[in-house]
Parts: sequence; structure tokens; C-alpha cells
Amino acid sequence: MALLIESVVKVIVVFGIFMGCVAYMTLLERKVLGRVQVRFGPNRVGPFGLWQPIADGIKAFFKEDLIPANADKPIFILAPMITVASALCLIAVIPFGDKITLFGHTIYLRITDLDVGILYLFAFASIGEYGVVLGGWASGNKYGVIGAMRAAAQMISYELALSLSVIGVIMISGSLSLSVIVEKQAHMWNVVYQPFAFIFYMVCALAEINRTPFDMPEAEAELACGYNIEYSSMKFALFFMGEYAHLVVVCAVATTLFLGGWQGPFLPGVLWFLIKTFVLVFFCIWERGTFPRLRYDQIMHFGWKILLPLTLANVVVTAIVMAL
Amino acid sequence: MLKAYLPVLILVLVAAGFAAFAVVASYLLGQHKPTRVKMAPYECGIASPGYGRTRIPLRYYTVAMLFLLFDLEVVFLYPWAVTFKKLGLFGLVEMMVFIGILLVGYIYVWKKGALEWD
Amino acid sequence: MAVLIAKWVIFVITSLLAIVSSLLMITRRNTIHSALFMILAFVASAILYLLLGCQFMAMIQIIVYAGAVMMLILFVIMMIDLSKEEKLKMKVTRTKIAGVIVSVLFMLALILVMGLNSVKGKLGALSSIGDAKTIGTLLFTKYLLPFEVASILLLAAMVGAVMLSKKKAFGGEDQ
Repeated sequence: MALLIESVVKVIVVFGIFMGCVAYMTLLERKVLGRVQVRFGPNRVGPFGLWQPIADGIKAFFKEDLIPANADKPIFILAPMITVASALCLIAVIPFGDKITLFGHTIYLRITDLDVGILYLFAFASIGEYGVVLGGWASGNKYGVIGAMRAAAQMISYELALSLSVIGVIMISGSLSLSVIVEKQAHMWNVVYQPFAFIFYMVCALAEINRTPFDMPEAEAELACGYNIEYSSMKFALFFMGEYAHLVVVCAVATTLFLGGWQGPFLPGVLWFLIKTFVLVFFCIWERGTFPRLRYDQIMHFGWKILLPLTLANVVVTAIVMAL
Repeated sequence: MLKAYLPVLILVLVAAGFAAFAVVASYLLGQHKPTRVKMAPYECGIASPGYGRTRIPLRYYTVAMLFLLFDLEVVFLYPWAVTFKKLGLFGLVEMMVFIGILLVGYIYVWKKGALEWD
Repeated sequence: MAVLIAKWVIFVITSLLAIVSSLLMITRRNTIHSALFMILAFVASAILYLLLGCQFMAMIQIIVYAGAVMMLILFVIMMIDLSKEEKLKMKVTRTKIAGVIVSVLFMLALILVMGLNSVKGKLGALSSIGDAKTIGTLLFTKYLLPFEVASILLLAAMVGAVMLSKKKAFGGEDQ
């Protein structure tokens, strides 16, 4: 019973904070992108545009909810729900702090610790891919279908390199549990042993969440928006939230696997975790403002012919160095 | 062990509940004034020619097939990576044989042009 | 006690989910809908693995079956135009009824021959090989040969996949 109460409280608190982060990610991105492009970004709603995400959220609820005539209605409604729910579920295995003692209870600052934590992340991420594919397909729009297919092919291609890039970390830690991986980094971060794996991971992660320079699926200049072209109102907002939630999680996982998670001197663990994750998130926004979009065949070539062999080579080299 | 999955169950329920709530609430709160033009597929204002669900090229199928095969290879790598420290040099040789055989397949796929996109 | 009841309730719900979604998968005319129900059935069976204590298998079930295999099937559905076939009405013919009867009889025969008790004994052994470490140790010592053979199987599948798609994809202009 105590476990149930603890779990419910933890889930609700973390879920609330996570949703807040996701909402303010949109503001952060618009602000930073604005600065990159020498403009202000949102600054009308509240001081520094701080109420903008809330205003956007309320607006999304009251917008007209259109479902195109030749859409596959049940799947059209289900697709954004799959995307957002699976992205939000990813947060479960990420440890964001050391244990604390509250009213004589030892509470671990993570929702749960699974022995197969990394596989849990990949499992939910692969379910989330269906949201994009089905959303584009169900719209009954040519651009939607093309965007969905591009997204699907790109995500599965980079998922391979992504899962290969974390193998090195698993080998060093000897565990699939994210908590154990963080504990093993008490003296030295994994990025020191696996610098290339970290770079590969970040590149694949950007492709996995369809971000510039890999934002082919929603290339607005040629596909008018891609898979979410027919979506409006809250359903569009759900796709949007799913994307940002996934971005935050990807950066949090990079922090956990490569940058020592919540470990760090002087400051409390949670703060270290937030700082590291924020730096990576900021990097993702920054590079969006910097890089142009790649062509689709370039993306597929890069994934299959360059990243896949390189990540595999990384695994082999790690194995040889560790065995000798 | 199953105790660790209790929070996951709760989180899945909360996340799914949130998604369902958002969709239902926007359906109830938003206005509904559908017209024929509004319901047509969006194509920047031009009438949409042809059938909406275009058939996709076959090379997507090739990519999915190759993804499935390489994904299976990665699946074998997880238990290997976890036990690698214990297996030592023996594990290294085992996996080199495994990866070597698959590398032959990879080179074959490349040479046959299944990875080309133009 | 409460834990046991909760486990039992989850087991019943998941089993029903797996059965119902499998039935829906077979009976839907819309192929995309049946693919969705197939994903649901795979996820339900992953949860059943989890209840047996096989975490690793459960996650692999989702990653490989619900993720990779179903993505391939979705691609195939989107590649071939099934709109004509979807309009066909399902006819109840004598052969189909006979098929249902025979398969039910076969299932009953299997249960009678193997006995329910033999299944119970096997389940106990399953939960001990649940985690990745045990699987890894077993796979790379006791079951080494099947593991290496699996790589040859994957290689053959790779060659097959390329050959199949080559012939159809580029038709006459096959290099």
C-alpha cells in the first residue's frame, strides 16, 4: 500500500513537472530561435512572453477540430494520442537525483528502476513511431503520406545506429539499468571512454525526433508540413507536445548515459541533472537555428552507409580495448 | 521484480488519460462548422487531384526489411554487452564471428545497391 | 495477498485483450485497422511475458515484434493497394465452418494430450531466465552454436530481402 501511494505521488509530481518543462520548451525554442534570427520572439503575453505557452494551450482547446472527409477517423484521432502518451511514458526510467530521506522514508528520485531500463526506452520509442506513420496515413493527404513514410523510414534507419551507439556504455557498465549506469559514473563520465558514441548518439537522437537538419518529414517548404498537415486544434498540439517531450527525454537520456546523470560536486544531484539536460536541450535548439535541412537521399545515405558502420566499429573497438 | 513496474503502469495510465482528456476536451470546447471545402485535403488552396493515399515506393519496404534484420542483430548485442566483462576474450571472439558474418551481408546489401536512394 | 489478486486481475485483462485484439485483427476488412490490432496483441503478449518474470523477453517482444515487424507489415500494406479487396464481403462457406470446427478440436486434443500440468512446470523454469544477464550467459556458453547459426540465418534473410526487392523494384532496369 505504501508502495502504491509513493508511486502515485511520484508519478503525478514528475508528470506535472515534465509537462511544465515541455510547455516551456516551446517558449524557450521560440525565444532562442528568435535571438538567432535577430528578433525578439514572443514577448507580448506576460513579462518576457512567459504566459505564452499557457495561452497557446488554452487556445488549442478552443480551436475548431477538423477531421478531413477522407480521413480514417479512428486512426486519425488515435495517432496523436499514441505519439504524446508514448513520449511522456519515456520519463519513467530516468534517474534525476540521488536518494533523499523524507519523514524517515528513503525516497529514490526516479519513478522506477528497471533492470531493462534502456530496452524500456527503445520499446516505448518504437511504439511512438506509429503515431507519426499512422497520423500521416490516416489524413488521406498526399503530403501527409509522403511525410509519414519519410519519417518512418528515417526513424527506423537511425534507430539502428542509436541502439548501437549505447552498446558501448552497456558494456562498460555491465547493466541495462539506468540507475546502475549513473552509479558506475561516480568517478568518471562515460563520455570520456565513449566520446564518439556520445556524438553518434546525439546525431541519431536528432534524426530520431525529426529535428533539423533531419526534419525531412515536416519539411515545410516542400511538404507543406508533412505528416501533421491535416491536424488542427488540440490534436496538432499533442503531436507538438510529443515531439518536445521526446526531445527533453532524449537529452535527459544522453545526460544519464554519457554525462554522469545527476552526479556532480557541490550542488544537489537534481540541479546537476537539470543543468546538464538544459545544456543539451539548448544545443538542440541552437543547431536548429544554424543548420540547413539535408536532402532525403543524403539523410538515408548518412544513416545506412556512414553512421551504421561507424557505430558498429565503435562497439568492436570498445570490445577489443576492454578484452585486452 | 513486478513491483518496479507498478509506477510504469500508473504512468502509462496517467499519460493515456491525459491524451484522451485533451482530445475529448478540445472536441467539446471547440466549435464545429464543417464545410465541404474545409473537409477537403489541404493542398495550399488548389483542388487536390488524384487519390489521397498514394502508394509508396518499394524501396521503403527494402529499408524496413533491412531494419528488421539489423535490429535482430542489435537484440543479440544487448545480452552480450551486459555479460561482456564476464565472458572476456572468449566473448569477443564469439561476437566477432557473429558480426563478421553479418558484415558480409551488409557489404552484399551495399554492393547490390539496396542502400541507394536516387 | 493483494499482490496476488492484482497480478491475477492484470493477467485476466491482458489475456482478454490479447484474445479480443487477435480476433478483431482477423475480422477487420480494413488492413490498417487489423495491423493496429496486431500491434495491440503483441503488446498484450509482452505484458504476459512480464507477468511471467521475463522482462528482457517482454521488451524484445515490443521492440522486435510490435516495433520492427509491424512497421514492415505497415509498409507492405501501404505499398500495395488493397482498396478493392477491402470492399469484398466476407462469405461464410462450408469450408470455413469446417475449418473452425477442426481447429477447435485440434486445440482440445492438444490440451488433452499434453495436459495442463505439463505447462505449469515449464512456467516455473521460465522466470529464472528472465533477465538479460542470465540470457547472455546461457546464450554465449551453452547455446553458442544456435547463436552463431542465427547469424547465418540473418545473412540468408538479408540476401533474400535484397533479391526480392530488386526484382520488383527496378523491373526491367535491374542492373
